[in-house]
Amino acid sequence: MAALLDVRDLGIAFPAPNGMLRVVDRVSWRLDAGQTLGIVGESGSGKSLTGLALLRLLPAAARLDPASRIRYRDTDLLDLSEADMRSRRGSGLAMIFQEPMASLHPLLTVGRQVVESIRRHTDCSALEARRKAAALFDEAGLPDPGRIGRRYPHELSGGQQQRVMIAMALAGNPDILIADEPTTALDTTVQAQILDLLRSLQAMRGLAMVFISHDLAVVTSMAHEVMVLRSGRVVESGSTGVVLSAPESTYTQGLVAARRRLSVRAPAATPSRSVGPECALELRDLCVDYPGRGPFARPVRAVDRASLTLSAGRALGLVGESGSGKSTIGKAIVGLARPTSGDLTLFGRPLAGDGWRLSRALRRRCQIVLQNPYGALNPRLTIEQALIEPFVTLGLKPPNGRQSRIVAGLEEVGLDAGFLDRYPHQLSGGQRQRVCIARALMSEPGLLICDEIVSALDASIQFQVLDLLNRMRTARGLALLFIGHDLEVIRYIADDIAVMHRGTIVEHAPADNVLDTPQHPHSRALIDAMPRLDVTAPSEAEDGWRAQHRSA
Amino acid sequence: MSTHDQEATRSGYPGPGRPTIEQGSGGRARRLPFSLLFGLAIVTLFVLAALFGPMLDGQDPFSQDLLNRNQGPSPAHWAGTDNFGRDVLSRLLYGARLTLIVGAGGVICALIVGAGLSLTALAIGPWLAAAVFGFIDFIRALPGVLLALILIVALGAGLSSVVIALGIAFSPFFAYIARAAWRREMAADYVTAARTLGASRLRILYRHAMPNIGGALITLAAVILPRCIVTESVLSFLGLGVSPDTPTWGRMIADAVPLVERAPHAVLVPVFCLSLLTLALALLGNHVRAAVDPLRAGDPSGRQRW
Repeated sequence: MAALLDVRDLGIAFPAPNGMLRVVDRVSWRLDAGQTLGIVGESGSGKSLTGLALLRLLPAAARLDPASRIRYRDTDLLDLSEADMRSRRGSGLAMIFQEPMASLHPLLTVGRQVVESIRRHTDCSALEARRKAAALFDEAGLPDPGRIGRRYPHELSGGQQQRVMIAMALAGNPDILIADEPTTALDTTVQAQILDLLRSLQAMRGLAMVFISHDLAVVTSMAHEVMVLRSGRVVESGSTGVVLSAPESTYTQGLVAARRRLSVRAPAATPSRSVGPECALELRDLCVDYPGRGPFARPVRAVDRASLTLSAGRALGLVGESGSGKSTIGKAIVGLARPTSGDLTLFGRPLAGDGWRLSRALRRRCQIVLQNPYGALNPRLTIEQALIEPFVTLGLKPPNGRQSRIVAGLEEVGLDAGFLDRYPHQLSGGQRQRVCIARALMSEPGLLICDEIVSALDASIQFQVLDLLNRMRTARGLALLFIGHDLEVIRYIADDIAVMHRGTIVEHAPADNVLDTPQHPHSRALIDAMPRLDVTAPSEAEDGWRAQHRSA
Repeated sequence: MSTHDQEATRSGYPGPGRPTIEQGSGGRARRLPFSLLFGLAIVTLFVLAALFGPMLDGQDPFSQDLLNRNQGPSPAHWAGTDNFGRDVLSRLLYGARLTLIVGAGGVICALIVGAGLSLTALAIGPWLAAAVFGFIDFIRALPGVLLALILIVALGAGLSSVVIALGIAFSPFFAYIARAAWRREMAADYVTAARTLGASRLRILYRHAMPNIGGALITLAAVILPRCIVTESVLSFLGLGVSPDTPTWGRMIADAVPLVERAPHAVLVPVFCLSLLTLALALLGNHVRAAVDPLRAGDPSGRQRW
């Protein structure tokens, strides 16, 4: 049986200062009707370019290997004229992207955008196209499909925007859907809904799918076959169950192991060695308001009567969807957001009486690491200059001098003195995040707030960073407030978990209790939505696929 | 078109035998880019003219030759003569010193008043910033020439008054650019990180924001400098320029414009010099920006990584 899509020796290169840089190198795969191929790889592995090449939407600077063949049904897409190719886009192959907000036109209603793509592919009246659009919105699971088309993209939530993108991709009735990180920008619960939608659409329409993601768990929950890319080369491919249960290459073994390691708990920290665990952080009925938009708007309550305690040497995971107020709590503790009422006690010192201002001594003991390692280091400062900052601003006087303290701090996070003269752009994301952690630890704080610090990192590096923090915790009795939406990460590191929902803490209990027997319906929804690296489920899917093939 | 595209896309692909990344041989000496050499050459030329110009040229920039008015270029007068039969080239060379002092002085003054004042105010606090920008908006509301006029009348005529007046008149441009850049910087994650490390606003200004704001100010300075030079001519025309008898380029352009049909060279030569200077300064400004930007300078390929 001929494959629906047959890619042979796909090669993509970019001009680089010293010649051509091959970013995708002789990649071959095939896709049958109704099947899903998962493409997994870390950033820079060429997985997105592979997807774009199928639609011939590569950046202008890209060069294709002359030997590349992309056979769709019985034509080679690379031999088509641009006009012929355009007619295939959307009706043969369609694509959905990572950032739905960036892919939708902000000044047109979503309905108009979908109607436009319907009328491009089929010859029908405006009225008929609107009816079809409503049907597509219904199929994509959008509420009130008849009227949602009148809304503008910014009036929809991230998940709804992605559903609109899916509706638009389906407008041309394609038989291959290419999904490039379709859920990476979404919350875990919304991600689960979108993945469900894609699965049901695939079943209903018999779609073939190319599912591209960095998240092994997400890909394996979707795909019948997986292809692992690294630096533009295929390191492993095969049916999902086989790749997961018996990975051949060491790289894939590492990926699977990194994900598995997260699904167990970190070695528990020994309780603080000092006399009785000191209370590092206590929130009592803390409220934080943001000013509303416009002169007469009411303030928006971001955090509503939140109460928490965290003692030295413990790790507390603060989880919730985006907008639930978890980051605001972190900001309020370090003085980046001003609470409205309630109280916040750091190392026994209540802050409400001090006008919420942290003294220098308190600031030394309480530090934060921000989410985005690409932004948190000034591109103009070398690593050494960045690491000197806390000494100046916090007035630190290390006994052996700054230089030796900085080198020791770098070594603590697994870097060395060779990094001192480098600029941030010369470091990888993981190295940058470790520099940020080193900077926050310079003053030897007793409380470290980690605001989604691993979500921008690749899976293998996530583990390194988490392991590092865990060692600090045991070695120094560091208290960790770990803010995140990835429950796998939280499960690995946290002793206790607090679940936030719309500004309130709905559950605060030991981690095992929350994960195994969640009390609040919202916690349960979060946990159910967690993508799992589950070997059984995909192999069932694979059995189904085999059965289908036998019948076919 | 598309097949053509496809051909173009497939050509130039590395052959199968070659390595993935061809390493640079390293044997090639690094050549300075043409634009840098060109900018440097032009600016050096003008500065030399300003320093030694009056000595180089044998002609007297003030001697009038009323029989040879508005003559085109000739062996005797390389750049022709003006309406009073004075030699254009020697007036150009003679005026270069004052012209450059007025231009550079005006820009530096505008930088100090506009960018310096507004950034300091922004760093100290929102209330002071609001007051300073109220004042700057007021300056902006007045026509630049009118404002300069008032200032010169108040300060008394002379070179320093002209420079100060030009500086204040052009300061709003720098202030607005500086405020926009400051706001962008304040939203950056590394500024947030610095705040959590207890950095004061002034420290954030000079340690974190200034290096990133500087580039935009350099570019703006290269654009404002010729405007200072031209505006000085208007003041000269009103009798409030640097000095009524010293030729400046702006003054030369202003004097020659009414006679452009009869003696186009008397306008074109100083305008050409002014344009050349602007271009050279803009090119130099770009190279200065690149040299202090680690994203480009730290990497010899000159590519921005992120």
